[in-house]
Amino acid sequence: MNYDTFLSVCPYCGCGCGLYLEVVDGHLVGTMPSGTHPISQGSLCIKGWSAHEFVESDARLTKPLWKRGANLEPTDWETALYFVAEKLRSVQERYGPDAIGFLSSAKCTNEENYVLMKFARAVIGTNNIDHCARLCHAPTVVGLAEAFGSGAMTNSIPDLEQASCILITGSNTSENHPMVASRILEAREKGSYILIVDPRRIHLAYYADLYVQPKLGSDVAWINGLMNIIIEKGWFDREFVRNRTENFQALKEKVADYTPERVAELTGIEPGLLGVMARAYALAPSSAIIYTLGITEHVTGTDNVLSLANLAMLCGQVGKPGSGINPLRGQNNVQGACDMGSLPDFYTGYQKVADPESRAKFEEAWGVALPTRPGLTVVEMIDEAARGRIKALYVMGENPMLSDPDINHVKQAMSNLELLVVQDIFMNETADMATVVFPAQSFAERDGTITSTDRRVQRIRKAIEPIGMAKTDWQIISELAGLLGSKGFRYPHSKEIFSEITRLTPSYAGIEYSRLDRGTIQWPCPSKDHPGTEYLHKESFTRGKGKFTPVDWKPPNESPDEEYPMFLTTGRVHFHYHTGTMTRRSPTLNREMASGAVDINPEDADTLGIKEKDMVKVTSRRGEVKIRARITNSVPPGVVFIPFNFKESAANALTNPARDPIAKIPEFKVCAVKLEKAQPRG
Amino acid sequence: MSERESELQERREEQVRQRAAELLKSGNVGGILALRRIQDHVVPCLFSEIDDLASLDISTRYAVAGVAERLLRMAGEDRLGIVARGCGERHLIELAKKKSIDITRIEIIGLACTESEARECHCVKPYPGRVDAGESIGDVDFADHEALASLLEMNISERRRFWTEIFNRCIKCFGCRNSCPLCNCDDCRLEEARWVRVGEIPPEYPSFHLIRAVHLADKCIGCTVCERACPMGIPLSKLHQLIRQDMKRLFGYEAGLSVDEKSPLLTDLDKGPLEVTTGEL
Repeated sequence: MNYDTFLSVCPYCGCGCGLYLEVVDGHLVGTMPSGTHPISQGSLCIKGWSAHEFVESDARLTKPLWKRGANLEPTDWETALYFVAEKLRSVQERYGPDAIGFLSSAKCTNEENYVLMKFARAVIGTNNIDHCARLCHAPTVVGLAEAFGSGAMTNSIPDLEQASCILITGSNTSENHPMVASRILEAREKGSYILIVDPRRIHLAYYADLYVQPKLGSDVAWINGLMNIIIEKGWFDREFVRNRTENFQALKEKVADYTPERVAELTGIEPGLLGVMARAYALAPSSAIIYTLGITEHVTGTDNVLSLANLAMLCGQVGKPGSGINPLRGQNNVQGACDMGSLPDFYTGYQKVADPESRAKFEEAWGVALPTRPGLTVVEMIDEAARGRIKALYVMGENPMLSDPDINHVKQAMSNLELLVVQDIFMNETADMATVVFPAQSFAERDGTITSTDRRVQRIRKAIEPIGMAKTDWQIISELAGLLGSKGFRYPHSKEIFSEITRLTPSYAGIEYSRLDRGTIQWPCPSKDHPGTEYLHKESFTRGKGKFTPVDWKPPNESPDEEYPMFLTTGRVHFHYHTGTMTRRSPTLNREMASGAVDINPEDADTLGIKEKDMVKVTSRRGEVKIRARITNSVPPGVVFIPFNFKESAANALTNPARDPIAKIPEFKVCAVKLEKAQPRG
Repeated sequence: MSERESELQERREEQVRQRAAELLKSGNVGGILALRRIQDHVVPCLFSEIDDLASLDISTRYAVAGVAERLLRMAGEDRLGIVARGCGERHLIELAKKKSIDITRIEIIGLACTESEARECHCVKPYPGRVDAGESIGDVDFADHEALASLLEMNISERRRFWTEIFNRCIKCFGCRNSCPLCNCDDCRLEEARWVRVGEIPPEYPSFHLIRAVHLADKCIGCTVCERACPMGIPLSKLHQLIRQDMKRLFGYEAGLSVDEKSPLLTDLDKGPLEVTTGEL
């Protein structure tokens, strides 16, 4: 009899809960929350409690597969690796390195992201590497970097308990970041004022001191409106604005156009309410802003983020405990994937590809000349594949065939490729189209580090032996690199990869595995004796002075019209994660929710003659889905909501690929649709 | 922790290690289920080597009786040593009553709680039957009577408002059930759509929470592990405390005291309704 527990980190959202994987005789039998972990504190959500359930699923990929005729057939590692190396080489020679694209993964470790990033840049010679952060928090990375000089959550999850006011917008926190919701309720018990601004009446709205329901896509307008009132009433932090920011005059002039009456027209928020919101946020001793994709997934995503940054700086609500701008990252390691340079314009730690000095540093470390031009983003790679300019795509742990907007377009792009390599733990909609599929190890089979949403670097630990012939993602890439003649990938263990990362990345410089065994560390951690950083921008902003960027409200790219009279907004549900490859294979989660539903307001349901559980056809300019109806007041009249977790009712068959001009994020949160009762089958 | 407390802590830890070493040496058990310190983390662990006992730790509390149940099921004939506080022993007794475990296959290494530990858990019996480590402080009453009284003072509509507000926080993590060693039915009613609609948070009020509370009425031994596992701060242990009080008042029954004692709620209903033995309904 052998029973052991391994401390790891939940593989789902960005909260980064510490959990124990329980192993009996080499098999995972359960998950237990860690009582000593700063985030989970002895609790988990239902996804965390079920984290072990998919790992030993019969559906796991156990052998490499390659396409023979129309089918994927099993093969051995040597054959598959040689084939892919050969193909990559030939595409690179025939069309140049920029004909190859890489999608990295926010589900993989920092080490794996680093190795793939290094492979793309140093072995293939392209900066075409990106990952799903493009589809969630790209505007955060861009917007907060512009305003503060650093695109990460400024404060910490435990720190939220100290906030005297918490403004939550575009985040269904209790469903999607449960342990943050836990802290919000703690703060509320201590008297914190909870202010929720969201087009959907979310679960947490029940516990808000004030819940406000703005029109979809009206964020810049209400935030400018708040700032206008705050400046007029003199509620802003004069000293902070004078000493720590620049460009205030321009902001003041811009927001003056956003009178409460005009804002009411644009957002549907009554002028009186706007004043209450402004007062609560501005005058609280410490106010924290929490947001997620309801802010970012718009054509104005970057503008929305800039507006929130403007608001926080105006009121001096940043750079102190219980305050700040707190974007909650979706995937467990999306912060880390960004930190590791799985982005077309950055190396690790946001060192710019276009900056000759940074480039020289990495060229010296890796011993090769590196490409100078920033690469393509996820959505651009798909577009270029559709146009025939990207010939090979290497996908590590992502499923763009379900997660990207306008799936029909993605499919057409994928079928154009000469080589599609997918490295994953399960078959998925993207792997179905692959030339070669490599079986990867899950979080329970490998060592490494991940960085959760509050810049918290922590260790995951190998609990069981690999399933079948699965290898870690970094081993697969390292072996390919070896076959392509590179000598820089001979790592004995993930630990050596991490040492290489810390040598090249100032914000990670003081972190090492032995320190992480004693607890988590929040970057920046510049030296071995540095304790890590609980909140950013204390004395000064990363860029020196904080910069106000005045922005104007712009309408969504697509608004309802006669043909498509309703708004569609999309998101996740509590019981499933993203494209469902893991959660839908977890019996506990699947039992709770086996399929998706479209949320419809009772008024609309009445008008359309739709009843609970009726099959409904939802159509946009790009596609249609059939899905069951759920009648609920959580959406206002004129708006429907569809979760994107379910392939058989894929919200992204409908969504609009129109994107933010700077961050290139598609407008997942708004498009126009029509609804009708589906004809019964038969 | 004061110097005296940490000294006491070390002494208790040493006493536990000694007893664990004796048991392992005797060959009488296949392993010792306890907690282990790995740097700053404390994890449940099965010790099978005496040399490893140096990392045995008693500073944190995990309910490991559920783990013991699983191990005994998988371990054939092996016997198991378990480090148990008063609550841990009562868990094992209740599991034995349900015939989920064979308690004769268990050697308990009894750990008595300090007064401050007992206070933290609102405990009334912070010691196991056999004490190998620490000193029993005897029966105590650290229940939060003030809070309980204020709950009982509410009239029916205030109560409804209070519990609705509290239970609506629930995000259906099942942490209360998962962490409880005694909430372990093979077929859990909370998972059945007929009793609780699936896929919704908060889960239906009051069915989810009250089904659980009633199912544990004659099992809950008051360890408070459910409340500690709740991410949303639902005061579950107060609810259970009130039910335990009623069980005592009505039937003179307390869970977790002896394997031979039968729950008064066990009836096939053929012999008529439950008999209230000591109190008034």
